[in-house]
Amino acid sequence: MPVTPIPVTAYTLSNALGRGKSAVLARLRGSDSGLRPCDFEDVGFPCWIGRIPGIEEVPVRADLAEFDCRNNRLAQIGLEQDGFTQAVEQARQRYGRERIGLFLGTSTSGIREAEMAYAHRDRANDSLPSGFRYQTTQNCYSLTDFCRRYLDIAGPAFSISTACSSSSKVFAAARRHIDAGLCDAAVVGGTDSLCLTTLYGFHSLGLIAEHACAPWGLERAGISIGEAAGFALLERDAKDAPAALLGYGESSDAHHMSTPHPEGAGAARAIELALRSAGIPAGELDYINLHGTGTRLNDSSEDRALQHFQHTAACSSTKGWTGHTLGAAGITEAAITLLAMETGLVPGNLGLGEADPALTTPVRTISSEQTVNYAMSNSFGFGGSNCSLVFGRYR
Amino acid sequence: MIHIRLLGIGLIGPGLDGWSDGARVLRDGGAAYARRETAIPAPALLPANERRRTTACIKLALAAAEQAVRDADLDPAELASVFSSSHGDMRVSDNLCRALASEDRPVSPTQFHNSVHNAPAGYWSIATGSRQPSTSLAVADSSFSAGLLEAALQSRANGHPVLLTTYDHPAPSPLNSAAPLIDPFAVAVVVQAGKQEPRLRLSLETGEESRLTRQELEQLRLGNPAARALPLLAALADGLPATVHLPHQDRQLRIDLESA
Repeated sequence: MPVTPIPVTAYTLSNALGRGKSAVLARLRGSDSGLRPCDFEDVGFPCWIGRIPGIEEVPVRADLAEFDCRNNRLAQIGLEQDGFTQAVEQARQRYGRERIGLFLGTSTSGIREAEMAYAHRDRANDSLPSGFRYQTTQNCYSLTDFCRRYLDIAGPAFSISTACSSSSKVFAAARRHIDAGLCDAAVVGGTDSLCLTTLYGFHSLGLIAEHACAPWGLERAGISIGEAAGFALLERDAKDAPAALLGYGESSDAHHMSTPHPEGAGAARAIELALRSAGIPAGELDYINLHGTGTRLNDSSEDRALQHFQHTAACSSTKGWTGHTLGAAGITEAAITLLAMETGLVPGNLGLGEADPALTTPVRTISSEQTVNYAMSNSFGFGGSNCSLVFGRYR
Repeated sequence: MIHIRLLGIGLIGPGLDGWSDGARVLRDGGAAYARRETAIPAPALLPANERRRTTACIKLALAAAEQAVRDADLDPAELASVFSSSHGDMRVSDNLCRALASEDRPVSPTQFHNSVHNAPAGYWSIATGSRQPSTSLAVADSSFSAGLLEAALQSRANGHPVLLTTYDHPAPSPLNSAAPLIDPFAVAVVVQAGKQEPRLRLSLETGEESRLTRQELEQLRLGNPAARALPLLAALADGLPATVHLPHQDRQLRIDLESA
């Protein structure tokens, strides 16, 4: 059933392309990827990553020192761009702190702290260093707890952790909470940072490409992991806003823990539900930001899913720019989609190389100027969790 | 204010084996509570080859979910699902961190896909063939109350019943000193939004969380975040109009039980 459009009154993103909208946009206009050969820790296999420089230099705000870890530092960096904290402050004054919800996605939170704690554990009695702060770093809720205190908001809040769809599903959760009157506005978004768990984990599944990822390409051979933070502010109503969330669709694959449904059935369902809830046909879409991870199976099953829809949208995966930012992919790509709507820049599918003739969905290879009134952003996660978002102009 | 009905309940805890057994103990003036090691049944819905790959924590979540769905007498494939856990699978985290701290970092694919917070949700979807949406939440002590609200909101939005499963399982050493949990505990409910009776009214307010009068049950409530649901279960077992408060971040989830 259709849902009422909800204004996105502010948004921000930080990733390997840069901190904040201007920095990211400047890179998206060109063809200089944020991916580099891996120089993170002592990773023992060749891969490329989307690393954000400078996270090591600045700890989290002093009053929240117990939350200090790479992931929360990155969240802090993310919140401080594009006047986002000021926008939240204004919402807090307008509605009251208990009326602002907070829904954030993350796949690994501060697990890097646990990785380091175990590496430095006392092997004699198998104990962890006394400085290890599990609840405020490793724990999945730590990101949301940190941001809640950082922003001083007190409405309903939780972390969603459904792998790659995490920070896309947060939009749906916020929509439902605002609709039900549990809050009047919500901060949505997510943060995921580099750690050994995901690098070695995806490597064990044979899903990490040796070189920079090539989404949709004939030679595609896996993902390049990136780190990112992104946030958006949704409000019950607003005088003006760059865009609105028109609809969303969520589904599961029911297929396999680490392989997508080959026909993309779950993905197609999520897309169908998103279009239906937005009340527009696929033909109205001007731009689709693909999940496009660069694995052989994701891209082919996503392509199959898209075949069910008649559309003339410009399509691209932007993971060749930022890498696969996992729990932050949803918000990162939603924000890039919003940038496309706001600026008219449709980003190209960087890293394509030679196109795969087996994929029927054509992708834009280079960035170009185009009016985008309606756009879709897709996130089809590991473990079969799918989410599709539709954005449009706010009237 | 949101109205819901509970169509089915599952319960797995120390000395609480299923809802009818648990209700006998939890109701006011009920049977004596005898704490014993939590018995985690093997989830029947999961095919054997998948079951072999699951951990105690995953089995805990799935078994509770199965009970609730059977109690509700509904087709699990039709239900959207909400899984909520404060800590996720700490045994898998421990295994992974040990592997990563060793010489050649031997991480296994099964270990990795079991480490994601939504692993139980993934197995549940495969076991039931359900393509309905699923979400996996973490909210410290509020995992049950936040999960219940989220399930209610999803049911309100889609018009269908939604399955909530809240679970938490103790960690092995050395993580258990960082996150001490006393026993495995899981509760699952099938939630239908709407005003039909018998109904529960959900709202958020400031106040004091409900406590249990029997000390051992109160210890359980405080000893596992999923067990913060116990006051609601006790009130449901009584079957009388009541109001309970469950922790929801800085406030309480107020639940008014109206009788049939």
